Amino acid sequence: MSGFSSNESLWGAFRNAARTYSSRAAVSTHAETWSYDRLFQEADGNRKWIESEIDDGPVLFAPRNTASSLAFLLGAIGSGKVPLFADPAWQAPELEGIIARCGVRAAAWEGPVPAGLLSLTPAAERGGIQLFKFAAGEGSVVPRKDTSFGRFTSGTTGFSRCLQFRDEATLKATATWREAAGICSSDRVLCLATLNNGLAFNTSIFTVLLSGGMLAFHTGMLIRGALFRTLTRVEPTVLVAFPFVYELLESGKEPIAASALRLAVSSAAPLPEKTRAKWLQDTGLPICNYYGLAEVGPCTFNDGSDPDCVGVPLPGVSIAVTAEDGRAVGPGKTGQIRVKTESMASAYLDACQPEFQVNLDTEQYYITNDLGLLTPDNRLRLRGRIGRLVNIAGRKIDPGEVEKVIRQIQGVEHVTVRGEEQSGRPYLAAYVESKVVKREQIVEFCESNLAQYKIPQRIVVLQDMPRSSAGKISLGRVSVMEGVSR
Amino acid sequence: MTVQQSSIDHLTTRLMGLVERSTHGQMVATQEHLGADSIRRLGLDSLGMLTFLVAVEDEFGIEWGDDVPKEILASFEGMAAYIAQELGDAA
Repeated sequence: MSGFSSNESLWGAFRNAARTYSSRAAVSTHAETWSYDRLFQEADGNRKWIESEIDDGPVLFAPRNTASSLAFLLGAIGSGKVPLFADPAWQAPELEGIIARCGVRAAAWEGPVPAGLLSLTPAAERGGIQLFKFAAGEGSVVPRKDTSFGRFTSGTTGFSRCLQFRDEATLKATATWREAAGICSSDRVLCLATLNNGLAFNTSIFTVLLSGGMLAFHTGMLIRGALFRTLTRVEPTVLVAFPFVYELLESGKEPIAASALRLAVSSAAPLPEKTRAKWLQDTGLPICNYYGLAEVGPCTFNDGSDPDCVGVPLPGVSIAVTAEDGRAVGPGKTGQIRVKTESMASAYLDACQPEFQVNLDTEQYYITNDLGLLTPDNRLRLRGRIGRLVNIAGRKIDPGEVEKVIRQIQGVEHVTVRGEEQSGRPYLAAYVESKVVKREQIVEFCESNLAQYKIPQRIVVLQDMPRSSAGKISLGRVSVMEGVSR
Repeated sequence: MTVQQSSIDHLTTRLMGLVERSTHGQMVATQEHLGADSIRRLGLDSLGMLTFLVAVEDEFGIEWGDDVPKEILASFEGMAAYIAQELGDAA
């Protein structure tokens, strides 16, 4: 195993790993496989390119699951220009909001730029990555000096918040996950989460690259036939995927082509029991999971032996379950989960309120919106959430953000968006009060202004929302009203 | 091989029924929805679209390739023509 310590930089740790594992495969896609030497050369070329092109960060980057994007991600971290890793599914209005709020000075894209994004023309291009520059705005936000990169959390204020992370935090997260999952240089890790996603960050990117393993990506649609082709090509030893991917793989009659697999990791959303059982029957392996948050990194690891829990705290992680007043409740009692990790974000990167510190208690535990309990043997069981965030296939969506967009449509008088469930699957539902707006207009407007995964699947347009005698929207009565998305 | 229009119309109708079933009745496509971008205009989210594509594979016994053009997946008529071609090729 490549050694790395918390007092070296993330870039330095990657450079050391590249020297150690020089000719071994580092990243593989359906089109190509790059060795550690090649990946380092490309990343280092990007590092120098970014340093020469950009005076100051942050640099917004929406990575795709390609070797080129991975090399840019690494080079951008090495450059010290603070890359912010955005979701490639985001639409232009979402990205423009981030550019303004986070004081973004440059943006980088591999492939087509989202339609209408500031009518950008690239200032430079290298290896398929286009670079765009922005003038510094008044009162621009400046990243902390020790910030390595930024990632986004769904937020609860109607827009995504950018979290700043230090090298040290990422190295700690990498070390703890590597130990828990036993990642080593002989591993081939097939990561089916996009590179900006917490699942990829917590379990795959640096854990694999600092261990000498091979990181593999799937190209194309996440549908069964294509996934089987990728499994056959990669022969992964570790599979990292959202629950719906396991459901998809288990929904067919074909046997799972995963004879080399030693670890299957799922996270971010509950896994149906029948999928878990069928996977175990087909592969002989339990599906492992973990508990982690964008703000704090990975917190627990469950080896799959107890399906009803998310495991025990990782080394260096402290978990408390508390009542509303912050006092700890005893084992077996449900309360609000608080966590303290060495991989926690250091601050938000924007000029918005509230500050990140507001989420921490006096002992520097991060106060989550999750409910859970700790068993007497210190296993964490999740028991629900506080607040409105909706988790759809592992992506957390703030209904307030969707409401804010729909409210912009002329003729919309009121809108309520919330999570609902059908056949055990959560989805977004929008109840719109309008005398003139049609469903098609709402879909079209949402498509232009929101990522596809945020589009409500049930849209009910009502001329008059049911209201209580005090004039408040009566959600209870809305929920029973008939409505089909026609 | 030329695919008959009646065959494409029939497949289009089946696809419209399939989108309703795969979304548990949340998306109902009718004849008035047909035309360019008819699937895209329904407003399926990412997961809904994947679920629909898998349902199409199961329903018609085809397998989507890695390089299917986006236009094929954007309308019922385009998808129906593609499926008809695939089924014709397989026959």
